[in-house]
This record gives sequence, C-alpha cells and structure tokens, in this order.
Amino acid sequence: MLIHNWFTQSLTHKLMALFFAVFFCAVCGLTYFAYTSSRNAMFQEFKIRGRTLAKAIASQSRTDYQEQDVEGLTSLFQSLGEGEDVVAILAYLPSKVLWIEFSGIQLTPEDLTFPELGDVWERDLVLTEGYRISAFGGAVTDASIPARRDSSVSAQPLGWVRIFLDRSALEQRLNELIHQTLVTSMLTLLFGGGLFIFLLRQSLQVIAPLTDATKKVAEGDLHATVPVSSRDELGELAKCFNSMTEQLLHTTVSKNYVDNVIRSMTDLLIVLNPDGTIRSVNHAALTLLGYEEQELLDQDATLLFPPHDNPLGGETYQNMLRQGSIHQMATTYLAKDGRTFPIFWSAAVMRGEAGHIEGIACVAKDMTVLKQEEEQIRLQGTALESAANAVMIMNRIGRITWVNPSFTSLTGYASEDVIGQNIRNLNAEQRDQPFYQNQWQTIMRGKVWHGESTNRKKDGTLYTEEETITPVRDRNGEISHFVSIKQDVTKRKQAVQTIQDAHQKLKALDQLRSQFFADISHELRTPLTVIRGEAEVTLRGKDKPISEYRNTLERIVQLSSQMNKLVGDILFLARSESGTLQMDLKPTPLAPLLEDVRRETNILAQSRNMAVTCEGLSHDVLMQGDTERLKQLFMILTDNAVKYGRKDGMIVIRLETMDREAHITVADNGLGIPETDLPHVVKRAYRVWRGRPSAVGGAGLGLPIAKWIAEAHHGTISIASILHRGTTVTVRFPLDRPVTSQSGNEADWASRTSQRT
Amino acid sequence: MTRPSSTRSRRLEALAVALFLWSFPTLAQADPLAVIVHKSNPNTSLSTTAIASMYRGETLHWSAGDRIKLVNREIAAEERKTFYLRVLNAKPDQVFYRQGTPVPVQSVIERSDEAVVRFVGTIEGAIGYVSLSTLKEMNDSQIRIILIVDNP
Repeated sequence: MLIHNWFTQSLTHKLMALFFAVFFCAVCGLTYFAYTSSRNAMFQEFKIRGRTLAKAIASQSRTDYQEQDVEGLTSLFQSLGEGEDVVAILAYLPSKVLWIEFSGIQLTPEDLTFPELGDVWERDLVLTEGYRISAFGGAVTDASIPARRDSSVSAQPLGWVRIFLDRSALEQRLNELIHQTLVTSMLTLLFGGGLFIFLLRQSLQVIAPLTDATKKVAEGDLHATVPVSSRDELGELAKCFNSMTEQLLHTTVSKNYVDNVIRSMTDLLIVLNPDGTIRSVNHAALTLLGYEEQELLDQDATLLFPPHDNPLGGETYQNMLRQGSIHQMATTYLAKDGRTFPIFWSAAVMRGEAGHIEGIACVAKDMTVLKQEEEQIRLQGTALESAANAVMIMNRIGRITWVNPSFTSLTGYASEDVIGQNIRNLNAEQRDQPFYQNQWQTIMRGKVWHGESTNRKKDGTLYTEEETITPVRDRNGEISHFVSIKQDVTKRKQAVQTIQDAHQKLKALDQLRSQFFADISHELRTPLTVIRGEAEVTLRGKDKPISEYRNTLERIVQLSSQMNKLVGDILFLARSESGTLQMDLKPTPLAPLLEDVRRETNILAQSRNMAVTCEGLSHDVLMQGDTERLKQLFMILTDNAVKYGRKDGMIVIRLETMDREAHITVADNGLGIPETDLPHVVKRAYRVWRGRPSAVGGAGLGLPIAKWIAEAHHGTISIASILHRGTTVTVRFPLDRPVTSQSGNEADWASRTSQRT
Repeated sequence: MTRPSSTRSRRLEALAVALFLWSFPTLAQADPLAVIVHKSNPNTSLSTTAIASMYRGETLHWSAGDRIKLVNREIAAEERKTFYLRVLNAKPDQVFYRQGTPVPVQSVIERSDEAVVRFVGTIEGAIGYVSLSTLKEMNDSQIRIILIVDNP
C-alpha cells in the first residue's frame, strides 16, 4: 500500500522507478551478455587450445612413437606441458596400454584407463581426486601411410596421447569475470542512478510548485505564481502558467469569483431552466425561504409562489419570454413554512450564443422591512397630521416645508400660505432681535429650544404660543430640518395670571388678618390689665376713703364699657364676615336720623368743647335701610371726628342729594390724616395716630365697620383729609336701589375690599 | 623385609620394556631409498637439499643445461611416502608449483621400482628414487646412485 502510494503520488518517484527498472534491466542484460560472450569465448579458446595442444603433441610425438624414444617424448611433454593449466599428459601404446604418465597431480588407474572414443576426442571430466578437467585426446598416426578412402580399414595408429587441462583456472577466471562485471554494473547503476536522480530533481523541481499553484488556481486563487528556475520546457511551462494566471486574473472572472458574488448577494437569486424547474438558488434565497438546496433543485418553480400570485403562469411569463425580461414587479414568495414575503421581482431570460433559451435568472428583493417601514412612516404621518398640537417642519434655512392641520387652526394660516415661506417673514414683527437670535443659535447648535412667544394670527389677533423646536439630523449628522411643535397657551396664561393675582390678594389679606388679630389682642388686653391694676392697687393696703373706691369702680366701669364696645365691634365684624348679620331694611328718613346723631355727638363733644352742627336737613331724604345700622355708621364717623378733632373745634354734618344719590359728609377741622395713611384707614384695626395717648381710645375698627355698613346699603365711603387742617368723610347712598340683605362671604368681602384699595 | 625381592623384579620389568622398545624400530625399519640418475650424468653425489629443490620445481635444469626429468612413484607407493617425508618434508599428495607460476611441477609417474630404474636408465636427464634393495637385486649398470636416503 505504502509502495503504491509512493508510486502514485509523485511523478518523480514514478520516473525514478521507471528509470531504475529500465536501467537495471539494461545493465543486467548487458552484464549477462558480456558475461556469456566472454565465457563462451573463453571456453572456445580453452577448447581450441586443448585441441591444438592435443593435435600438436600427437603430431610432434609421431617420431618418438616410431622410434619408441621415451626421452624425446618426455622432453616433448615437458616443453608442451608448461602451460599453466596443463595438469597431465598421457601417452598410450598402440595396445592402449599406458606408456608414459607425465603428471603434476595424482591420477588413479580409472583416470588412466583409455577412453576408447575414436581418433580425436574431447570431454569434460571430474577426476577421482576431485579435479575438474577437460580431457583432449588424439591418435598418433603415421603420416607416411597414405590415408585410405576406405573407411572400413583404417590405419593402425602409432599410439594415443591424452592431455588434461585444468578447468578450475578457467572457472576461477570466469568467477573473477562475473565479479568484475557485477561490480562494474553496480557502480554503473549507482553512479547512473545518482546522476539521474540529481538531473531528475533539477528538472522536475518546478513541478511541485506548479502543482501547488494549479491547485490554488483550481480553488479560485488566481494570485498563485510559480518560481521559474530553469530555461527548459518545464521552465517555459512555469512561465506560461504565470502569465496564464495573470491573464486570467486580469481579463476574466473566475467561477469562484462569480460564485462568491452570488453567495454574498443579499438579493434572492433563483435561476430557472427553460421548462420552469429550478436550476440553482443562492444562499440568501435559501435563508429567506427556509429550504435546503436539495429540496428546490429540479423542482417546479411554482412552489415558490402563492397559487393566486404566480408570475410564471400565464401571460406574464409569455410576455417575459418575448421581451427578454421583466422589470421590477411586486409579488410575493411563499416560504417553506407557509409564510409569504412581499418582494420586488425581476427576471431576465438568458440566451445562448445560438439564441436558444438557456435559463431564466430571477432576482428578488425582500420588501418586508421596507413595507413595514412604509407602514410605520404612514402611521407616523397620520399621527402628525392628527396631532392636537401644531407641527411645523422647516429646513435648515428656516423655510417651511410642511405644516399639519392643527397649525392652520392655531395660526389661521392655511398650509399653502406658509409652505415655502421663511419663518422670519411669518412673525418677524413680533419678535425682538435678541430673542430670535437666541432661538436660532440654540437650534443651530443642535439643541432643543423651548420657549414661549406671542404671535399674531392671520386675522390679526394675538395669541401666546409655547413652542418646542427640535433639530433633525441627516445620516451624516448634519442638521437638515427643524421640527417645531406649537401649542396655544393664551387661555392658560390668562388663568395663570388670574390665579397669581388671587394668590397675591390672599397673601395680603392673610397679612392683614394677622395684623388685625395682633392689634385686637393688644386692645383687649390693655383695658383688662388696667382694670386689674386699678383693682389691685385699690385693694392693697389700709382702708381708703370711699371716694377712692368709687373712682376706681367708675374707672373700671368705663373700661368695661370700652371693652364691651370693642367686643361688640368685633362681633359685628365677625358676623358681617360670616354673613349672619341681619339687616332690618325699611324706608328710613335720613334727616331725623342725622339729627339724633348730632344730638348724641353733641353730648360727647361737650367734654372737648366742640360744636356740632347739621346742614341740609331741611329736605328729607328717604332711603331703604336699617335705621340702627345707619345710625351706627354715622355715630362712628362723628365719634372719630370728636376723637381726632381739635379742641374747641367744630363738626359739620351735611346731607345733600345729587344724581339720585344721597351724600352725607362729616367734616372736622382736626388733626387730619397723613396722605400716606389715607388709603389704609378703612382697614380693620388700622390706626393713624398710634403714638397718641390712650385716652383717645379706639381700636381702629370703626371705619371698617362703617365701610361695611355703607356697602351693605350699596353705598361708598370716601375720605378726604389735609394734615392738621381737618378731615371730611363722605358717604354716598343710591336712592333708587332697593337695599338687600347683605350675605357677604370672605372672598366677596375680600374682593370688594381689594377693589377699594 | 620383602624390599630386596620387589626391587629386583622391577628391574627385570624395566629391562624387558627397554628391549621391546629397542627391538620395535629395528623391526619396523624399511629399506633405504636410493636416488638414482643416468650413468652418464656428470654428478656423482647430490645433497638432499639439491634433490628437494628439483622436486619442488625450483631447479629445472642440470648444471650442464639439460632439463631435469623427474620420475615419481604413484602416491600410494611406500617409496614415494618415504621420499616425500624424508627429502621434501611433505605429504605424498602434495602438489608443487613452479616457483612464481601456477604451473604444477610435472613428473613422469612410474608404477614400480623396476620401471623407475628402466626409465632412469634410459633417459639421460632423468632422476628418480627406488628402494635400495630392489636396486641391488636388479643390478642395473645404466644408473648411478647419487644419494642414499636412510629410512629409519
């Protein structure tokens, strides 16, 4: 097996084996030929010599025989038998009895027996003692007796001679010849073989690289080259191979290359035979359709299409055969597992050189992803179209390319009005330059801009919009478009503003209330402290005169009544705020009411020596109102006038009607109110002259109560004052409006209070 | 005392053995050999060495220039055994070669002492060896003894 492989797998080995077979046969043949011819020649020569020697002895010994000269014969034997291979010469008498034995070796009587072989003979013998010889013999005839034709009577010979030649020398020489020939042959074989192998290797060394390169080319690698190492036919072959691969590489496309192209195609390639069966399928098609290649080859191609949508059936196919190709039709492939894939399908008829149809190459592109993307885009487009927010797309230079219907409803501009317009032209008037620059710089830096701006609609109305502009980048990362999403926030802005205002007012009110409670607490504690102090001082120590107790008790009563009044005011305010204060409305004449007020004020004013006068009471004015409350209102005003009036001053109460309104003014010529305090005097517990002696009294509740009462009668109070000159308080009542029960709550009260301030 | 008697008997034994040993070679002794040549041969006496050199092929010619013709007995002959042993110091079947050559030293083989004597008496350059007693019986006048080889 090994030897088989060794032979079959290498040309060199094959050639070597061939050479050795031929060379060996040749050398062996030559050796054999040389040996046999040499041996034959040697034998021939040997025998000729033996015969010649025998004949020579026979002829030379004739005389000696005739004369029976033993000495002469012995001398003759001695001289002729000096050849190196002559071992014995025997002379026989005519009676065939041994006459002379001339020998160097031992001969037995058997060896010496006359052989009776005729006149001349030769034969090979092995002597008794083991010598290998050739025996030559001849008769010694008398030449003087003429030879007779008659063969029946032959002349009696004079005797016989025999000569023994040693064959061992000859055989030794033959052996030597064999040895020499063999050695020469072996040397020739070795030298010739070595030389041959050397030359063979030199000549064939291009074959192994050539084989490797051919293998590579067969595998498709056309870059394989062979080193050119000689200028013989093999070198020429290597050169031709290199140029051939180069040509192949440059001018043609290898099958492997085409296969590679087809294998790496992402499109589906299916080649059909003219009869509609599948000839070859590429890898992408197998992957998509889920078939093995063997399952499709030689199958009818209709199995690749759904039954209702087969472009290979009917007219389409005939058209294709006529025209040579189908350009891009949308159809579907049916996979092995029953799924269908939308594809763009094109087919081309391959024709041979003779014009006959060789096959049909079908290329298909899987459109599944594309279809999905299309659907996705359609959905997204629909979403944008139907979005409640206004969406606007503009390009890099600010030109509007698309708007959705909400944009139209927000701005009043139809899409055809704005598409193609530059955004700067659309609302430039509304935007100041820095705002616009900031927005543009932000989005050009690739950042999202978010902000609010006020724009004008097509019809000219203003609206506030909240806008988000997002830059859109293309595949290269460059900004290509901007998407602007807008939202009308006008109403929201207004609501926010309202809430903010209300918040401010509530905060102020809360502050007022805190202040009020702080002040009221102080006002309530002060008289209590005084009462307690008066009582404690009086009770301390020894008995005091009764007048002192009386004084103290009077003081206490006075303080208690102050407190009573204060608590009454607070209760009034609390009720007024909680809406539980009941108004007893009825037609009330103002003149008698004011006269009562004047009379009661006068009592108060006497202590300060002030004069109280009434004016305009001559004509009576009738209004709907609660008499008690109205009286309380005016008493507050006159009480203030007494408290803050100048000693020995005067207080004037005047009633006037003007434009269906009753105007009642209470004027004094007292301290007046500083201009800065004037707006605050109607606040609860606000007192202008906080630094004044406590004798003035008052908790700052009067004017708020007065104000509330006036407003409960739909009236107003206004205060005009000049510092150190006097204050005039004017109360106005509408005369034609019916007075309703006031059911104010906190918010209502607060809102009306805030409106006054 | 038995010693003297035993000593005497031993001496007698030794004497008997000595006599036996002495008498055996005397009985076994063969005839001496006579190396003979033709009576016309100028040599009257030759040394053993000279004769051996002739039979070994070292000397081919007589001093006068004639070829020496060796006469041998057949290998089985007693004379040849004695001659080879005594003169050539070799076995009787030893083959000698002429000095420096593969040519065997050849000789005329005679099958009897009488034949040897006749041959030597006939051939002038011949040399041979025969039993001395036989030679004396023959009393041939054509030969001359040039060496007597004792056969102990």
